[in-house]
Amino acid sequence: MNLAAMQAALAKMVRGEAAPEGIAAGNERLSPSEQIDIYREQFFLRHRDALR
Amino acid sequence: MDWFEIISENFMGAGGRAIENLDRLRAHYRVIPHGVSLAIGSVEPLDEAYVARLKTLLARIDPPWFSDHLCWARAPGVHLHDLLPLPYTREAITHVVERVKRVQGMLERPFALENVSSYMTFRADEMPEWEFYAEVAEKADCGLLLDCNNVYVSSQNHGFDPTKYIDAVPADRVVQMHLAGHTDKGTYILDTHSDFVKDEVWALYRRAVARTGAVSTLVEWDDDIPEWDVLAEEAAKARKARSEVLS
Repeated sequence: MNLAAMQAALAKMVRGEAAPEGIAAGNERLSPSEQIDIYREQFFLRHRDALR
Repeated sequence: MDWFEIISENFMGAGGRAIENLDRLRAHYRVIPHGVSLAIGSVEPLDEAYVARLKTLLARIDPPWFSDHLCWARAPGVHLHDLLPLPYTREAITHVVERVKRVQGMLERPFALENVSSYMTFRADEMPEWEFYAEVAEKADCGLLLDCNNVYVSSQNHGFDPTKYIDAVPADRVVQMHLAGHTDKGTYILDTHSDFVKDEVWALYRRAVARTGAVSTLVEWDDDIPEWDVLAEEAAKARKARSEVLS
């Protein structure tokens, strides 16, 4: 997967438009999907804060 | 206080209260612009309107350098407003180097790239972050804004030795450093800028200063902001640590 494809896929994952699979490596403490969930949560929190 | 850093995007308007405050600040202190939206690593075309606004801001401030993050944020049809990590690949190096050279040429000012805190690694990674960071800087011939807290946060999130990172950074390219507090979320550490600088980060800072010499250092504290005296004390602590290392 090239850089453009990775960014397009991750952008969809962060917005919850695609399953968080196939890109992140994960580690002993966090699975690949849990790593992407951190960015997904931050994306949501920034929108929530902007609407306050 | 010796100098201040501003978030570039907050001062890109043509006038108004923000610009008035900026001009008042500039009358007494040196101001360095630090951006969060250049998206230097995005494969989307550079936002030339953004770069033009940044150029206007730089002309107003006349700083010795400006900075932004080694990350990406824009994808087709969307700006994610985050500092998303790049995969540490040869392809990404080639892409970022070309963009940095282009931005430096357009803005005709020294540019410094900051390492980001990250919470994920890519299956595609071909090298550790510190090799990626160093190679981008060397090939793009740009400066570095070394964030010691970001090094620590990423090291804890990904299980690497942060001293290895500090020791690998091209010291002669570091024009500025950042310090900040972070928050332990249990399974990971989040770069929150909402607390005192932790002891482990001070240790990394001292190690970095021993390599770089005296470079400008900024304490970032932009959430749960304390009283001014507390902030000033943290900045004084950085000044003292730097003096002790270099004495």
